[in-house]
Amino acid sequence: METPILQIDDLSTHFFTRDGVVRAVDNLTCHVGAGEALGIVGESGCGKSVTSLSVMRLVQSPSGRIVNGAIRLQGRDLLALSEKEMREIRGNEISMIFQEPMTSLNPVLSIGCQLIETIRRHRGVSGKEAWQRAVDMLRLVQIPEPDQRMREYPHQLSGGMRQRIMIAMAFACDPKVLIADEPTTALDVTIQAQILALMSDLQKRLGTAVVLITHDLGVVAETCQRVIVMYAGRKVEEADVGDLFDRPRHPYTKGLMASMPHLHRGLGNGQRLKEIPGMVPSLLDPPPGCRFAGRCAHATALCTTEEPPLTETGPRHWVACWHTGAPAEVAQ
Amino acid sequence: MSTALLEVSGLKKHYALDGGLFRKPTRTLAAVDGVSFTISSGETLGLVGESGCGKSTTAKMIVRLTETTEGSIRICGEDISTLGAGAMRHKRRDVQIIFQDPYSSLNPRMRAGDIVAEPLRNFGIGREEVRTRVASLFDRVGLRSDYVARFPHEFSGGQRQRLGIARALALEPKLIVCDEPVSALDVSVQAQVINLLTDLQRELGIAYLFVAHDLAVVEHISHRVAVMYLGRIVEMADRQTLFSDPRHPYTQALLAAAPSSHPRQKKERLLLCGDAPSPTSPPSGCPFRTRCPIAEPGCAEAVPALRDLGEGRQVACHLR
Repeated sequence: METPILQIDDLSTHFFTRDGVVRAVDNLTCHVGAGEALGIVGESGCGKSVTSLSVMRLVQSPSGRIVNGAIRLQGRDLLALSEKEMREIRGNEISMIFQEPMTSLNPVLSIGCQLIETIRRHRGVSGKEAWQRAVDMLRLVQIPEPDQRMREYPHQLSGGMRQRIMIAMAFACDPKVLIADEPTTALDVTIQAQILALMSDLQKRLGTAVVLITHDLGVVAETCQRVIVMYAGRKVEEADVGDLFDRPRHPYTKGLMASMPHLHRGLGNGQRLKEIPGMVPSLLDPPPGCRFAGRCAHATALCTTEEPPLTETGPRHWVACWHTGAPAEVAQ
Repeated sequence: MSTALLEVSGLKKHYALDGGLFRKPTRTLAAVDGVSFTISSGETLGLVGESGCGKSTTAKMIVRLTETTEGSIRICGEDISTLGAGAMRHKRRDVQIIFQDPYSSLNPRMRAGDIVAEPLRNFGIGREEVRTRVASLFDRVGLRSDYVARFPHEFSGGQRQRLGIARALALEPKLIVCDEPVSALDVSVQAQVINLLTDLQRELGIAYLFVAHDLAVVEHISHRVAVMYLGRIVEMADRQTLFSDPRHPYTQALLAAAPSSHPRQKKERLLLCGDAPSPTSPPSGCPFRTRCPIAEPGCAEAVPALRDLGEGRQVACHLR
């Protein structure tokens, strides 16, 4: 594989609060190549959103800090850049889509005004050219009557429409990397399907590297080629998407898959779902060892004292668990 | 049918728009527009639909948190939609509700034990008995009984939802209306709460009206399922019938839109175009015709009635 577009090495982002240090992201390493879609999956508080904010250098300071690691965009270390240089990267080379399209658009500016702002900021084109580019982008994300929409305000549009505007804005400057943080969570299923189809289509056509952050394994199955599963700030498993769904190795990944009700599985009520007992541990000075140990049926003394390293158990399949040697046992 | 625990017929909720203090409303919004269904004891009816389809309004009308505009809600044969406040209070023993957001549905200034005890005290149960009942309710929903003195903010999302379930169970209701009870929870915790709800149903014979937008969850928990679109039920059938052989084009689209559970099952899907129309200006005739892949000119003429197609299946479509 050629060199990745975005390479994250040993990233640790911590929050220094009055109660202590919250280790939101702990030694995360990952990469995305051109035209590839990487999914980052995990439950609330696993550090997936903090990872994306770290890449954009938008972590809330002064409490939050990237304490360790490197983030490289085509070899350039983003953590070494000044705020001014970083502003040239955001929205231009790396852009981001957030979960709530209502709160990420400015309610008092028209759609056109917001789209043009991005284009003019990074492209230095005339107002007329920027307007044309903005209309083209709206057409690209299949918004009907784009010329009219340019003059409308966010509140006049539906949730799905607003998310399309966000996508248009994100793709407006041909970014190399697109980070989508729960882009469809606030949307209805029929609209979610439309938005995912649109994102995949644009990604293929424009060759953008996509990092899709979600709690929904179904969304990952639908759109990604490679997946990272995070738990309590750490990467616990990484694999190609087919491989992960066929052979999940980490007990947490397995638990997550078993606890989801599936459509057409014909389970029906009366049958219990497999549940993961307990809840996510606090990230305030977490205990040593594997962070899943407290909820894991296979935890041994070793798990509570030593952190399991990421080991390659199959081609391009990494797992951080002491007990992956006996996958058959763990599965049951 | 007099045997049904809950019998809802012709339920409507219309809101007046553009009205002011001294101005006459000029338009109405039909949030729920003629919904009828029944639930027998020990049964779960799933109510699915997208946002704005009126499923939560229906749920709230059944516990009379929202007044009905028209129609009747019978519980064990008695119409509660017109009961006065005093008589309704007694009926509330039979019907309880669990809300979506476990953060805003619990009073932050009350201790967990008091939250669960409040309904018991409202019905004049003695102090000693309240204490033992609260302890057993905590135990029943899987909370440690020494948590009674804690405040809601000291619990996680899943624990709060357990607290909401304990409060709903306190008066031993016959029916619990669950309004999106698991959609605010993480996947691993969601399974715990769903299992708790099914266990309770098996042990206590409670009936649920389970309102949700997640089709997989509804398929898992329901015996029968009703699909709503723009304030009306468009299809209602047994769980298996509905999910294996959906007939209404909207149900088909909804099922097709759900993300697959495995990357290899990616489906060639029929994508619905556009958004649901606004309930303030619904299309004439069939409310779904503007997005329907099989719509014909005739669909604009009359609203399709919910017709029985046999096998316990009802569909509201001119073409099926």
